[in-house]
Amino acid sequence: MKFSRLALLAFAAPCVALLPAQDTRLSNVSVRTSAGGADILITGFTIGPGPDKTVLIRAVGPTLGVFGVPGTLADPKLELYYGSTKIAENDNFNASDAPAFAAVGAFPLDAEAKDAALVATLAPGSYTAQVSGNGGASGVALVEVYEVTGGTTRLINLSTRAHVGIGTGILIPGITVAPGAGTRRLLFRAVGPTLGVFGVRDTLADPKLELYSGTAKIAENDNWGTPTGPATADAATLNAAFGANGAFALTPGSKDAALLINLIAGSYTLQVSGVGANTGAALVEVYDLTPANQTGARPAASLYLAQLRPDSAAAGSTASGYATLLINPDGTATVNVTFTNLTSAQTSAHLQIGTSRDYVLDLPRGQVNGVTWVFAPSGAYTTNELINALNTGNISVGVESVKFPGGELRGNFTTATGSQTFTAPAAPPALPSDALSSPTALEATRFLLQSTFGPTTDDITAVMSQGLAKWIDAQMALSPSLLHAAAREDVALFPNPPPLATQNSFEKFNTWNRNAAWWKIAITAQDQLRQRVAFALSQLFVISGANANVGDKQESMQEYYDTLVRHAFGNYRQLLESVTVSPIMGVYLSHLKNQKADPVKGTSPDENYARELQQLFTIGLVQLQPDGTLLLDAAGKPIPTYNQATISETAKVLTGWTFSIQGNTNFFAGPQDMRTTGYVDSSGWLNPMVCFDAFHDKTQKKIVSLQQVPLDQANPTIVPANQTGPQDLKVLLDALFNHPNTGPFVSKQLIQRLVTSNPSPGYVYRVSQVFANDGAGIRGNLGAVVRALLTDFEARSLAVAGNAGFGKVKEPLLRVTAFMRALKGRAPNGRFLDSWAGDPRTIYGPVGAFAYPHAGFNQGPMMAPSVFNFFSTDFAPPGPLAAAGLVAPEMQIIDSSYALIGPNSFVNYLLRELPNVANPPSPSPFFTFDFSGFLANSKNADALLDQLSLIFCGNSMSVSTRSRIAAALQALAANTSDLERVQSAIQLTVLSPDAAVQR
Amino acid sequence: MNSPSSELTRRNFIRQTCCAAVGTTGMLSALTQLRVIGAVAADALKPATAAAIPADYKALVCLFLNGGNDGNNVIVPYDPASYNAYAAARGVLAINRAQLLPIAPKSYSDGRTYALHPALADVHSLFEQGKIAGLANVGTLVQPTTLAQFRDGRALPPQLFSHSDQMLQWQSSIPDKPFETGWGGRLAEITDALNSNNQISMSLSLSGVNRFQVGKSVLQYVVNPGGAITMAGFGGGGNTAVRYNALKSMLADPQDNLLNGTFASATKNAIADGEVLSTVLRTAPTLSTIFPDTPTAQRMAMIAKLISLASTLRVKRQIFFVQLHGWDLHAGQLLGHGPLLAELSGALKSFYDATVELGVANQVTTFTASDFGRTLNPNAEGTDHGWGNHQLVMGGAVKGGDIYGRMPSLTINADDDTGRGRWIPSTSVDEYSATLATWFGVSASNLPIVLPNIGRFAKSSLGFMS
Repeated sequence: MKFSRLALLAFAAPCVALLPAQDTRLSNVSVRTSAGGADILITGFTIGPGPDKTVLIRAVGPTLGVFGVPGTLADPKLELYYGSTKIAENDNFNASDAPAFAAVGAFPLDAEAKDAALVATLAPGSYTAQVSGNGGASGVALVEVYEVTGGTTRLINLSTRAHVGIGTGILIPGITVAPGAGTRRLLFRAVGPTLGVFGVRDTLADPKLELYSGTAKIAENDNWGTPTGPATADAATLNAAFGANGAFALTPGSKDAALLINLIAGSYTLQVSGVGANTGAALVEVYDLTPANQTGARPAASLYLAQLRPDSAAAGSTASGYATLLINPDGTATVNVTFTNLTSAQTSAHLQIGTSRDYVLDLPRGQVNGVTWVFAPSGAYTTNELINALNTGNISVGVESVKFPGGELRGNFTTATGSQTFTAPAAPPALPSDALSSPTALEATRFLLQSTFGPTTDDITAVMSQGLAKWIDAQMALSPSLLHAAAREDVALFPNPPPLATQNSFEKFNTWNRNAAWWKIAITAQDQLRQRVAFALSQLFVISGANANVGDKQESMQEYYDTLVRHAFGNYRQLLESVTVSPIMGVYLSHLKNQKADPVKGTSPDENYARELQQLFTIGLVQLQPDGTLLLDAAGKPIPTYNQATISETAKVLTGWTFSIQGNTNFFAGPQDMRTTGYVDSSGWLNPMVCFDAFHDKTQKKIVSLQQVPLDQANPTIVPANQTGPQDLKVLLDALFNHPNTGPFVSKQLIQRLVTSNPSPGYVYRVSQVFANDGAGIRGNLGAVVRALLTDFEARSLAVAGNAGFGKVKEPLLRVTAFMRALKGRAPNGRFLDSWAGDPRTIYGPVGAFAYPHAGFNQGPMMAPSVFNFFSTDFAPPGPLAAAGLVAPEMQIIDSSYALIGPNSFVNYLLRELPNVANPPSPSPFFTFDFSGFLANSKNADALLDQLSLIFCGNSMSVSTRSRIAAALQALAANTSDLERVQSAIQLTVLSPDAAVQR
Repeated sequence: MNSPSSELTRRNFIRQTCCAAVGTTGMLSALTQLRVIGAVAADALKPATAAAIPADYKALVCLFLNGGNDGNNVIVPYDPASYNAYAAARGVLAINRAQLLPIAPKSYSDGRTYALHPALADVHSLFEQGKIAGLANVGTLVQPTTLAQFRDGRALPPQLFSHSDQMLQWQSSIPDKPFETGWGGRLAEITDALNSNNQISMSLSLSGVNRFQVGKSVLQYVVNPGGAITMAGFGGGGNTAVRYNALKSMLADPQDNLLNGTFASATKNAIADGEVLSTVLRTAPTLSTIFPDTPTAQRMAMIAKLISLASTLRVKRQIFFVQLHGWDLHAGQLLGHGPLLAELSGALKSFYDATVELGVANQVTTFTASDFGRTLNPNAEGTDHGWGNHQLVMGGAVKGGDIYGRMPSLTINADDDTGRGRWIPSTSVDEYSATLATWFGVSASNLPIVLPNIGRFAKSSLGFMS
């Protein structure tokens, strides 16, 4: 028989199309030789550990004729064995398997041909496929093994036992290393003599191996232990490789051949021949020895969600969106991106990696619908590195626009939990019966971390004696401390001096008056719980003085804050309404003086408030289950809550609202400039807005649906035609208030602000249930919600507190308030600002971090950089936290600069010396602290650390932190003053991780 | 890699190595660990008072335009016939001829005249002063390549038109091998010997960790463009040092809670970043040159500051890396390109002025690089990924006011067009880099260590440096 030698490259085409491209892998081995009759062709392969793998095995005879091979085996038969058990066989291949051929890059088979093929999904283990000819015939056949599914399981060994002839009868196996980065370390063996040990007769006496890439020979071996000619590895290395990879040992000094080599992606052929024109049976083996740790990365979750927020450099953008990444069964990912409201035309979009933001996948422009990402190696990033990056929160979506070509929208993918059908989480264990009524000092102090601006010894004593429940009752019964009133006191007591006061408001307030008032309340007010909740609400219903139109209306900002204070334990529905009709909110989100559409001018109502009301204040972007996890559609994707059409309709509802000014009938009028008249009548800026009917859109409007179904199936809520503005507003706010999302959306955020960044679904569920019904049939009772979230098992259990992922990084501003409360920081003149400008003549000129907290701590009351608050609720610092599926929103503003600037700001005050001036003013305007509570223990490190742990670290200062501080105290110079000792201990405590995190 | 000649000593290796195995695997995590190279006690760095920068000091600044800058609209044909052809090909993206800034290259001649994009006014004036040169049609090449060879698919840089791959190949200058080191890293290794006893890496990045500066023994150090912030309340000796060390130890202790751990490492890293440089930066002279308030210019300002401290840092060779994002203008290019070029132009000008002020204009060379050029033919209102691109080189030692290399045909379907005006580069990244490396001090015999593929190309110097 004559055979023509073919380039087997055609049989080993790279198969990128459907195989998820990844690090290089052994994807195909084929051997062409004679089979049938006395020459049984046996191919073996081993599937490595991992999930089941689908393989395609073919025995091609007749179709080889198409390639000009004569003497082919007319009707090959294929039998698949596991050990000695036959588990499958095929005589003529099934047409239904044909798509698999194309998928792996195998040449197609003639439809009527009698070639044999099998597709089988197999568990890890060793298998053999035997090729014979029907009726005992023999001829040339090509046997191929392909991996059909990629994934983590690998083909680690392929072997073929066949007869090796001479000349054109030599054995020509081909292998393919699939495209990818890096190399694969492969061991090739041609075993002849050692086969005799296994009882095989007429073995090839002296096999020789030659490895080709195309027509170029790149390696060869004759006699593995004592090579004649070149060798790629010595006997010892080869022996070790055999042993380590389950290859049977070769008889020492035998004439079997072996090659150990690293190969990059590509197709290769081996030639196995007998030296000296010998013939005989030989076993050809290929082992993949690439170390296991180079493969195996798997996405940790099946769904990832990225909230898209404006990039920090995209000042003024109110764009938003979200992206999802779904892992498909075959290991690839499907990416969807939805976004809206870019400032300018989009230029591009990409998936990016790490802080370098290298592009790893180009996304099409516009809404991205179902783009497949195969984790193809990109640049120097291997597939494993890309998947690991996804798992550690390092893959982000970037959307770039003309105005912000470096990126306008950005968000990192974090794991998301979701389901299609809801199962209520199991109830938690009961708390110990006295957990709420008789708390220990530890329980009391950690409770106060959650419910005040910082624990004090007095508060700890009070909580221990009253118990938590009664303490909450008492707190809720106190009258609210109001910011506006406190600011008026401040400006009356400490008038702004002419050169310093910018008189940028009608009551002659400046931002430091507001801040002074805020500090005073945070540090000294009795109604701590209410104030803490109000501060949390100010991060949900955001207005910000960073917007110049808001920042010069200090009175209005103060009044707004008081709205939040008054409603902190009230009803959420009422809060929604008060916020909506607040004039300063009307300025911030531009629905003040919003008019119905004017067809002549071609204008439409402003959509800003309509969007943020839904996205940020009530329902969010995607449908939620009652426990705050995602509600998924039949395809496993999140379901949007509204679309652009909803926004446009909602914008029409919010038309006609303007300042409420006594006796005014002009929609366009603004409040009088009260600068010259003092604060006699500032009603325009302080009163709720009113609606002018003539400017209100009275058409019928289709707004948000209460159904949690895909939008094309959802029935909108109808706002009837011919209603007044307030009537329309009622329909809108009722709908949003009653939407199933609102409970979990709000509850989860309150939990995140007060207790822990990563509440369990159960915790969110329990609190949302209280939002839905406070026990007396009322929905939206914030007081009940606050009580529920503070007394919940998850908030109180010490066992839960010890979990590695429980708790939250304290907000920078709250670390300062806690510090100030513990050390009774204030200026002796009663002001909660430092007034030292270096010149005692300007003693009321406030300076420093307390006058401008947002500069010193990257956070200041009502000074968020945008309506998206200081940080995103789903921010996860890339790294171990994201890998664990946890978020830590506060870390978003504790960046590499503020990690130092913040502590610097208040430590500067702690350690500074008061200025030495002649004729110091009295009472002093310079900020001071009261260390007396700690001085008694200045020489007793243990007692001092106990105190500091109780006050600053929830009584849980770790052993290691404690010993560091104790050692430092020991190491201070012998003549160090008591005060400095105490200050050192405090300084180290407040900067420790123990004090930075509340648990 | 061959062991380099005596130009490299291992003296600084031990001092500067802080992380093992900067290889391709685990690149992401390894690179994010690169931090302070050798924490130094404050008194080891006594700032020399009013120290002048050594006369034999040189600095290279790589300004990477991330995303693929459209060079076709940077150097634009100007003579009426050529301009009309350009305008016809570019459609809506053609720049209005009246707004272009014509240039008169000293020696470059190909029958056309050229002009610069209107947003590059400062670049234009520096060009006319002979301080900026244009490099025509530079790109990644495995070997000189013809259109026929391109179509054959042989010996091409892998993954042409892919951002991450092309960026990598520009920064490594070895397109045909898996990435190991950047040419900036290799250049640093071979010239680091000129830095005797430098306490800080000569490879400084103002734009985060990058591939250009990956080397085997000289590791890059990432500088915060805002300068070094340090922990306050610890200034002084004695007790201060006790507290400071206690804090640093505390932050390095293992934490049992993931949030504690995250906070601790964030603070620890922030402290480390600030430590070394802060002492030094405090002694930097104030420059009178005003830098525009753009991210790029601010980074160049910090580079100028670092250059001014060359004596204090005891360096004679430094390599800097800065990156400007946003050039991937698939849409919105008309409105989007100008502002980016304006930022580039302003940053280059202020930086040049600063080097003049410091008296080192001839010792500092800044060069641009980018993933690739872009298609001559637009899509609706933007461009798509291309190949050969034009770059700019700036410095007193640059033989400026001229164009080097060969401008592409600028004609669709000509023999340098692989489709839609994706030009086959007429100059390789290797030749471009080799010219810079030679100026920087690499001898001809050592050039292949920095640029292993240089032997495949005709020129190891394009002649734009004096």
